[in-house]
Amino acid sequence: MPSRGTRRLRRTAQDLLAKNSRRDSNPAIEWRALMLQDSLFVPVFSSILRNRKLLLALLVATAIQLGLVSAHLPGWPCPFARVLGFPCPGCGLTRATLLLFRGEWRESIAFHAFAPLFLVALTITLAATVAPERSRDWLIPTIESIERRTGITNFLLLGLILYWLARLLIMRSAFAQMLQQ
Amino acid sequence: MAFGIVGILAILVYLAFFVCFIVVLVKLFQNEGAGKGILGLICGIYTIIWGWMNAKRLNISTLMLALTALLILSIILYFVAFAGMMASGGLSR
Repeated sequence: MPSRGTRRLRRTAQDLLAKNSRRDSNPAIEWRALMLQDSLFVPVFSSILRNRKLLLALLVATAIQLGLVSAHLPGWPCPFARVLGFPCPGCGLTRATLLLFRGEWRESIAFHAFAPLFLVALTITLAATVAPERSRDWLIPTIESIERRTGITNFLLLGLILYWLARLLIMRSAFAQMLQQ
Repeated sequence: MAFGIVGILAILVYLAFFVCFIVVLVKLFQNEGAGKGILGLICGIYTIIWGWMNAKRLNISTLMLALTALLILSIILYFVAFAGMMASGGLSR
């Protein structure tokens, strides 16, 4: 009498054999699926892009935040800056993005180096929100594939944390002064 | 005197907001992994929207309600302090 584990293994092997012997199987699609399955990095951005409601809410909130800050009104109160007294990794990103909109590249990058990347992410988010299903079916898997193969989002997030630490530890007073402007 | 009360109230509101935010952020890290957790740290708005979208599943509706109320209150308090500073001539634009 084979054990439970052996039976499960045998069933999996049979399933795989049946799948491979199918006439309509596409080797390219199967190869891509295998690549995605075995990839090292977990997609972050593409999994957010899949949820249209979340994207819409994020875009509306970002538009409100950009509008408030451009009108010199209080927007999102950063809990870290208000309570702990030091800015979070995202502090200054709204103002840097607004500077980018005005074409002031140098000032924007001096304010927050990740502003151009944030703008790219915002553009992709907008595209994924308003695009029809057919375009989304192409856009999101493409981004997911890039994320899984390169881990770009994970590296960028790590880079952002390192950039924040560098500004906090090396240029602390300049960083704080800049954000108080 | 009024400024003192507003100041103390603001500190309490920010502190409560911070605590609620950290709780939701921890939930985000636990449920979605480090990538989205860091994203939630950078973009607080994402943390709040994610919290509301998963409030029923995670049973944090009350916490989200408190967090949102504290967020609105903190913005109102900021406006009050801003108006007070403008009225006393402490801030020139």
